[in-house]
Amino acid sequence: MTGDRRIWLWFTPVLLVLGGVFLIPVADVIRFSFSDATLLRPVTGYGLDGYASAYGDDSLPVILRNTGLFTLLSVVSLQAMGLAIALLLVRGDRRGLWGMGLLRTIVLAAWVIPGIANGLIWQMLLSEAPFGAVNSLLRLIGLAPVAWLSDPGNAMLSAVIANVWQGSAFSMIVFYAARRAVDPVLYEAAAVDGASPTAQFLFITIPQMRGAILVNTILVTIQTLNTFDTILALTGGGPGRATEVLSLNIFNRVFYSYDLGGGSALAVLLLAISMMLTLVYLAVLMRKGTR
Amino acid sequence: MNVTIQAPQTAPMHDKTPQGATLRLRDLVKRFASGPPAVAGINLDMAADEFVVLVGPSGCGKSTTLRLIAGLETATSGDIEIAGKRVNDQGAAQRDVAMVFQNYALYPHMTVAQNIAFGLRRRGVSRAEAKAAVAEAARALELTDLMHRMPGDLSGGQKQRVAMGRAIVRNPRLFLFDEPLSNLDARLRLTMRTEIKRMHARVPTTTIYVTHDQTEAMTMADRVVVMNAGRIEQIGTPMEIYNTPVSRFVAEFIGAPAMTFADGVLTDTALTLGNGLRLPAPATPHRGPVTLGLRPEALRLASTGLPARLELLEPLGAETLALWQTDALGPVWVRLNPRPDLRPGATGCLQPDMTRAHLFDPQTGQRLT
Repeated sequence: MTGDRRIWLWFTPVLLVLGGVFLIPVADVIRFSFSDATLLRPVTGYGLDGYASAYGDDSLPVILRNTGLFTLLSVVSLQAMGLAIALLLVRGDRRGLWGMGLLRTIVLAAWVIPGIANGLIWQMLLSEAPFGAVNSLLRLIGLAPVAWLSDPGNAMLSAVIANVWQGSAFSMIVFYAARRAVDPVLYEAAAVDGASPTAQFLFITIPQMRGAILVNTILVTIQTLNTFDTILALTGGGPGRATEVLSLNIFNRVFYSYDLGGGSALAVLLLAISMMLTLVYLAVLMRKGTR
Repeated sequence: MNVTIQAPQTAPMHDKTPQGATLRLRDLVKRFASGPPAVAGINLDMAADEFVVLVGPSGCGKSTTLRLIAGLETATSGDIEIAGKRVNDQGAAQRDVAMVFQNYALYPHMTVAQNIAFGLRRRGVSRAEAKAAVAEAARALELTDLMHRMPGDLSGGQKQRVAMGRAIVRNPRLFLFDEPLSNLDARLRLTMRTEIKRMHARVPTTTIYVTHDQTEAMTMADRVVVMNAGRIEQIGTPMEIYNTPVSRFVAEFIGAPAMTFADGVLTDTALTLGNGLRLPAPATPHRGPVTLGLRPEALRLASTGLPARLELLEPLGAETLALWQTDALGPVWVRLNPRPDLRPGATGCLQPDMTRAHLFDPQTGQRLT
């Protein structure tokens, strides 16, 4: 019994820090979500009006659809790109190829760029004005220019490209570390056992990296759900509401419409979605892991 | 009392059609980026189903040789032939060899059954056939109760048996062992040594076994290959290697406790050691400076001979090893029958049996006949 009590001694610092930087703000958001607070005046009363106005908004289904599509495409592409680059790097390292460090640095450079700057960079690259780099290239090889940002379907794709370009570095780091941690003798054993490179990837690399894939899926999903800065700079959520995701909608609601209560109500929804997805991933991947 | 031991009517297993393939290494060289070559021109011919042990100190190239045969390293030059066919250009997957690694290299995310079945499945054996073969291998290695465990839940000896199961289940052309027992405790090492030999008798397959442990080499091998600095020092049966080592290196490496060496000059009448001690000349046409080598059983306690003082005793039960300090030879190991009366500090005389002495060239270290 004394053992149990002593455990709390060890937990206290963690709880204090987590409580200070995480739990209290979350609790505050939840408090605001039930209030009529705006950015211009403090809380005058509590109720469900914030929820009613935010969840009753006609545009919410479109925004949730956008969020789902943006997150799904981003998470799949981020993992695939990160894994591909990581495996390429490991292969390069193993062969002692020159410039692997440089390649790592270049990929990481994208990651340290702020989201707003990233949005602006891609806005210039994908611009449909004469200086747009991607369309200029297309013209150069004789293809018709593409309406990257003004066509609703393409705009979502552009937002995903910008997000993936920036975010792949993070997945790459996670997968690179995980792949380096796989005991090389397993690949030797598999080779002697007659496993082709594809079989080695499927039966050694992927299962050995399951933990990293799980963690990365959770982190990348949360990061993507919270991305609004890149989209803000790239399309501003447009054309129309074609690229307006939930986090951008919350940002607009709070900072353009000053609706702190309604924004907080949607932030609670975003938190709930993040937690639900995390639990789903854990359930799926942990079950396979302990099979 | 006379006891006759009858030789078996037929060699128990080897009269069957061989399961394994022949192996031939021709001028095999492996050079890594820097330093001297790890393998510096090796020639070896192995009969089908033979059990050959590669033994030598760390860095002698024995493991690299094994990895070259497995296809895990690419030869710089020379040929590797399995069953008469050059396999240098084939990858590990194509060579149809099985390997037991020092750290077992079990797939940690697969059950024991899946580990053993992996190689069969990758070679296109159907699920049902693989299951039957795995069950059979499991029975042979007493793994049946462990089939659904994960490697992380197994003891060292159990992991070792799974690694062997993974190898035997495929009926490979060659069996490669890379120091498989070095992570086990002494007792288990003995058990597994016997088990590997027994398995080889039951399912004969051409086997190459790498170890740095000369006892393993002596006890397991049909033929021992002693390696040093990327080259083969000597190939022979364990007793050939022990009784007629071709060089001082082999004499020193094989046999425990180690052989005692002393420099001297050989004339027609006597072998005179450095401190002036004269010993009877061994039967050899050689004259001049020599290095004398004496194994622990080539010396006995006698009333005359080299004055010696007992430094320490290692009673092993059936015999006792005694380390004597002598002026003439320095510290000398002597194999004795158990002598409860001997205590460290005792003095006596050691008589060398010169018919069992080994002579080596002091310059080249080569054996003199």
